Amino acid sequence: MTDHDQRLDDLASAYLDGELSDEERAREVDEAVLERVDRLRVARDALVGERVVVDPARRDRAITAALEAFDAGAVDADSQGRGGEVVAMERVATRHSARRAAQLTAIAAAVAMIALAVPFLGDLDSGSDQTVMSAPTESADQRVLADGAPSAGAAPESLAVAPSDEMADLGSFNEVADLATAVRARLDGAAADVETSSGGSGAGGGNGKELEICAAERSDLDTVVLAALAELDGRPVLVLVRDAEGGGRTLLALDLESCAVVASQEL
Amino acid sequence: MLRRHHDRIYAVCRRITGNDADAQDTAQDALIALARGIHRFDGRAAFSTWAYRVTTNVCLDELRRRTRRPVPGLPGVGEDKGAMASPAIGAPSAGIEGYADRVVLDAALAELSEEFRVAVVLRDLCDLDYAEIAEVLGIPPGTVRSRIARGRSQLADRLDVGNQPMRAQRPRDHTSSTPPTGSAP
Repeated sequence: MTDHDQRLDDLASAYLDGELSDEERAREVDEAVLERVDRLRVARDALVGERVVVDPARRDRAITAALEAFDAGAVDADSQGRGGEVVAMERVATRHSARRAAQLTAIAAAVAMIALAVPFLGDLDSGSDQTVMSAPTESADQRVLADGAPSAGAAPESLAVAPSDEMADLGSFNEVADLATAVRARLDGAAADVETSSGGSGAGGGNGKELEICAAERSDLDTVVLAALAELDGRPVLVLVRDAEGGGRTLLALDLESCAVVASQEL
Repeated sequence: MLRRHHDRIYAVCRRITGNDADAQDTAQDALIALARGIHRFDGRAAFSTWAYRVTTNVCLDELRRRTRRPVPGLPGVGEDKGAMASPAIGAPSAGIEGYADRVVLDAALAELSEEFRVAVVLRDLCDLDYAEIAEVLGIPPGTVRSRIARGRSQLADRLDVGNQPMRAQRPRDHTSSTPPTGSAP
């Protein structure tokens, strides 16, 4: 078939279907197109006129199957809930457990912040403007950081340690004296050598939650100037340094689980 | 709604697949697909257009599966189609009524390429316009027009139209205007 024949068929077929463009419709009658219109019309009518017989029983079976599929789909959608996600019960339990842990942590953090703020409220009552200015609203540069030494130019005394996202791991120690040495070095700004000289991996570092938990457990952690983690005689401990009432500083090693003092030493 | 559309869906399946057994299977599959996918019908097109689209896809899937297995009664790839040469419609030996006509038409349709056959069926059986067929098949309307024209022309050739007395059964012209010239624009 030539391109010309195809074009004639195309016009004739579109004519049969009423799909001619205005331009095509405006053209003069062409005998060749008329012949093709007749020819294509016969082919079309042969297809349209031949009835397809449907077996009523098969029709009913097909419809029944479709309705059953529809019902099954509706049941599936209902059983899967609004989101359609099937969640294993184990995941649900884990999710609930994690949510409860987060709630408890938030409560503990709130209690810790209140406990840490108590001495500043006391100072506020006594009219000490200096103390008010040094309340936890100060910038981070003026605070003693939870991971060790105070920042440059900051006075470490009487400042509460703010819970930090990361707490340093001082390492492993067999004796509290060795731990005290490491703490002094850290307070003196020689923190870089502390962990390596200790020769151990220690407690692995913390996220500040240990301090919050113990602060909630104890009422004597109001003047902590350093908080860190360490391992003392094989036991993971929270290391705190606080200002003593009569001057000087005291190192406290608290059991991470019970927050009980397992060792203390004057620095 | 399924009952109302079933017979036309079955007819489409019968014409596209070319035999009763596959038509029954594909029609049922199409109805199930419609029932399961009814939530995806967004109402932008007529329900029938959407139903024909689903049906056509089911039939095309069946045709593609068929290429991997032989089908009795239809010429396979590489077979001698001369053995199934269609007697001419209207020829005295073939008759025009009943089973013989059906066999003639089935054979002629089966010899059309899949893309031509589907386009012609959607136009002449489903009465979809070119734009609707273009939407169903995902092709431009110009391509639809070309496929229908070539499909009809080949169908006429298979039915030996023009060499035998013609019998227009159901004239259905959409325009009473005269046809245009075939001269090139």
